[in-house]
Amino acid sequence: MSLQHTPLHDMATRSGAQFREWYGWELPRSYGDVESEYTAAVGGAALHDASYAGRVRATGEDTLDLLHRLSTNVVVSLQPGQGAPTVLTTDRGRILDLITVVNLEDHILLLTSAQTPQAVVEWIAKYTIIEDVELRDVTAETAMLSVIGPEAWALLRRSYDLPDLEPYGAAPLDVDGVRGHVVRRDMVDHPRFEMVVDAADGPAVWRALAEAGATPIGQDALEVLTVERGEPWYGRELGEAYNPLETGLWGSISFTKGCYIGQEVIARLDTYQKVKQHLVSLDLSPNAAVEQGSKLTREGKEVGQVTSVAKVPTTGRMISMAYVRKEAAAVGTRLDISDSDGAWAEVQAQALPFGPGDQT
Amino acid sequence: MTAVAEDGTLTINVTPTAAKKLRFFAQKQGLEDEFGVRVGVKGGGCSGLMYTLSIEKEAGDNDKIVDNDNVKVFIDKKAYIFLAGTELDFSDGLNGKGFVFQNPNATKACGCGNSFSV
Repeated sequence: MSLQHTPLHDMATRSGAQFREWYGWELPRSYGDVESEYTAAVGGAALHDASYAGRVRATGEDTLDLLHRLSTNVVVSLQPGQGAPTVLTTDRGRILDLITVVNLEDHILLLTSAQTPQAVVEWIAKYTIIEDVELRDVTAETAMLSVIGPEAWALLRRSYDLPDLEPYGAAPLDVDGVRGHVVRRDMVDHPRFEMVVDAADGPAVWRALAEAGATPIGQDALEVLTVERGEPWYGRELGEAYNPLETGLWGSISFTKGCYIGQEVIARLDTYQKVKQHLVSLDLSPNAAVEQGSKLTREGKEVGQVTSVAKVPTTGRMISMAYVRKEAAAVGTRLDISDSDGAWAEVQAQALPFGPGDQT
Repeated sequence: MTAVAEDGTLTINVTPTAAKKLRFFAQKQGLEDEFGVRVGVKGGGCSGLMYTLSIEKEAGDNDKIVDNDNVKVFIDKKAYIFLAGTELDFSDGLNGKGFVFQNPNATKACGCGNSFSV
């Protein structure tokens, strides 16, 4: 199967980007120097082509009501310009995807993981019986550019006339013939703004933001940032192998909203404290030979599995995310790494509650 | 039990206890003689699909009408495939569950019985 390309691919090729494969996509791994890309994202303003992530357009007057009944968070009351993260769960309480639902007035935008827009459309369609809901996967016909970092908002305000945005809030864009939306979607606690525009306008918006001072960053720098900030990604930390309490998605779950698919299981796990493992951030010893899937042990007993690994380019520090059994997940716990003699991993933090919390 | 019509096809049955309660609620809504109970299905609930129940004066354009001995049942045709053979009963008393659906299509139901999957 040939690899997919984003609407900005040709421009990235001309600019000399190096590419890598990622879940069926060919994406820029770097535009030159990963260290300066990472530095911009942490301390300044970075620009990332996130067009590979899924976007679904939903219309129909029952859309929010249906999504409210199918997912973990309160979304039925979202007003135009408001958004919320929510988890689509199976009837066994497992994660189908962590999505962002944004009310854009004339339609509802669903931001999904890169691998899941079709699965999300099919899942919602399966439970649309008599409701007025129309869904369309618009990933290919739109582009999504992320502006990331502490200077991101100031840079956007210099380029566009934008109102203040609450977390997951959105505002329309209408500049020089380019129309779209900006959605505030922080990486846990790190500022990130998603510019969603028509695919054909993607390159022009990219150029304008780069000229305004945002530093283009590829997958390599972005991945370090996601692991460092503890943002769970599909294929690594999100999927049907996990329930949202293990992943720490407490901020995306309402325990008072009433029934949704999987609610009974999730409520029981919470009430009886039956969550068996936690997503944690780990510091790794410099000699650690670790990859996704590496086993973690304590006193010879397997207690967890690594889901992602990254090396911070400025310091050389090795960091990781992993699911670790409850009894070994306390901050400060030292774990051994299978097949990496003498190497260790230390639990730094449990996953931060993802999302703004119970909105009831 | 599965509700089967005289001609052998699956239908929707309302028990006498449920019919009595429905008449009571219809009366409270000011509908004495001409009314029906609309039984439906929508996405959601713990198990994926949930029942809806309302009292209506008349059937909608897309409704299938089942004339029961006790009371008329209106079902949206899209919901009928999930409901054929269902018996609607009423569970009374302090620990009663209210209206209860005995649905032969349901392979799983949540604890409270309001949600099911097929």
